[in-house]
Amino acid sequence: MAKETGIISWKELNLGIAITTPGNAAELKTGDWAAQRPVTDREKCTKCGQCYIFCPDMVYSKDAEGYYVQNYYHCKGCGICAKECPVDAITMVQEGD
Amino acid sequence: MSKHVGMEVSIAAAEAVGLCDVDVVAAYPITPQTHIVEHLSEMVADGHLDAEFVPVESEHSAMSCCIGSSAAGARTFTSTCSQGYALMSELCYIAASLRLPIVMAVANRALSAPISIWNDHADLMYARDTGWIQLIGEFGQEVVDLMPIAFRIAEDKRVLLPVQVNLDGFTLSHVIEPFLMPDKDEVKKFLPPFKPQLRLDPANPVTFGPVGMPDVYTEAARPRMRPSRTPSRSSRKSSTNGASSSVANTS
Repeated sequence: MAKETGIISWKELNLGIAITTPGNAAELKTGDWAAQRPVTDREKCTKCGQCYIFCPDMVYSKDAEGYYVQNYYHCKGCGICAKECPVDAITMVQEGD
Repeated sequence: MSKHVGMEVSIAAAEAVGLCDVDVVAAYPITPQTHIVEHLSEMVADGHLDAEFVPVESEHSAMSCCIGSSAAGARTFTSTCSQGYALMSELCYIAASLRLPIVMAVANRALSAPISIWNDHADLMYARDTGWIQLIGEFGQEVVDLMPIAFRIAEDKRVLLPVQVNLDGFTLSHVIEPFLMPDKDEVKKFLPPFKPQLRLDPANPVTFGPVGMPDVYTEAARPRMRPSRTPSRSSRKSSTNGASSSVANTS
C-alpha cells in the first residue's frame, strides 16, 4: 500500500486496508516534502558521523571512503544534521536551486 | 426445534445472541440497553454461554475491545445506546473501515440535552455515516430473528461490515412479548462459523489500522460505504464465487 506516488485503487487495497507486508513504511517517499536539502562540503567533513546519528529518517549511510552520503528519498529537510555538524560542513540548500 | 416462550424483549435479544455462538461480548450498561448486557453477563457467569465477557469501563473501551477481538477472528457482540453510542462513535468508523463484522444491539434512546432516557432515533441517525449496516426490529420476534441474520450479513464475504440491530428503547426493549425462540441447532444451520479472511495472527503478521495518505484515503473509504448501499449486479452474481478479495468483490 505504501508506494512512491500515485493513487492506489480500492480494488488493489487489502480487505480493511490491512498491511500484509510488514515494514513497508520504508517504501513511502517522504523526501518530496522537503523545502531544503542538506549538502556536505567534503573539504570540511571529518567523517565523525554526527549527521548519521542525529538524522531521524535514516537518510545518511557510509560510503567506501568513509564519508556519510545522503539518500534524499526519505529526507524531509529538517536541518538537524546541518545544526549538529561540529565543523559546519553541511549546508541546507533550497530545493530547486 | 423452536419453542414458544414469553419474555422481555431485551432478555430475548440476549438469548438470541447466545444462540449465535459468540466468542466475545464487551459491553457497558446504559439505560435502556442494560438488560441486554446484564443478561449476557449472567449467561456467561452461569455457564450457559461459552464466551468471554469483558466488563469494560466505558463504551469507548467496549468498541475498542470489540475491534481487537474481531480482528483476532472472534465472533464479537456489543450493545449500547444514546450517550454510550456517542462515546464509542469514533471507534465505530474504524470498525467499518477495517471491515470487522461486529454486531451491536442499540436500544434507541434520545441524545442529551436535556438528559432523556426515553426513546427516539437520534443515536440511529448519528450512526448513518459510520459505514455500519442498520437493521431495525419493529417488534420482539424481529429483534430475535435479526441477531443471527445480523451476524450472517456482517460475515458474508460480499459484505464484511459491522451491523447494528436497532430496537426502540423501553417501548420495545422493556416490553414482554411472546416469541418463537429458535434452538441452537437451527441457528447453527443458518449461521456458518466465522472464518475471517485476514486476522491478527503471530504466525502470519498483518497490520490493522495503519496511517493512510490522502492518495489512499478516499479509495480506502469507498468499500466501507459502498456495500452498505445497493449491492451491484456483479456482487450479487458472484455470491458463491468466494473471491479472495472482498474489496474487489464489492464492485
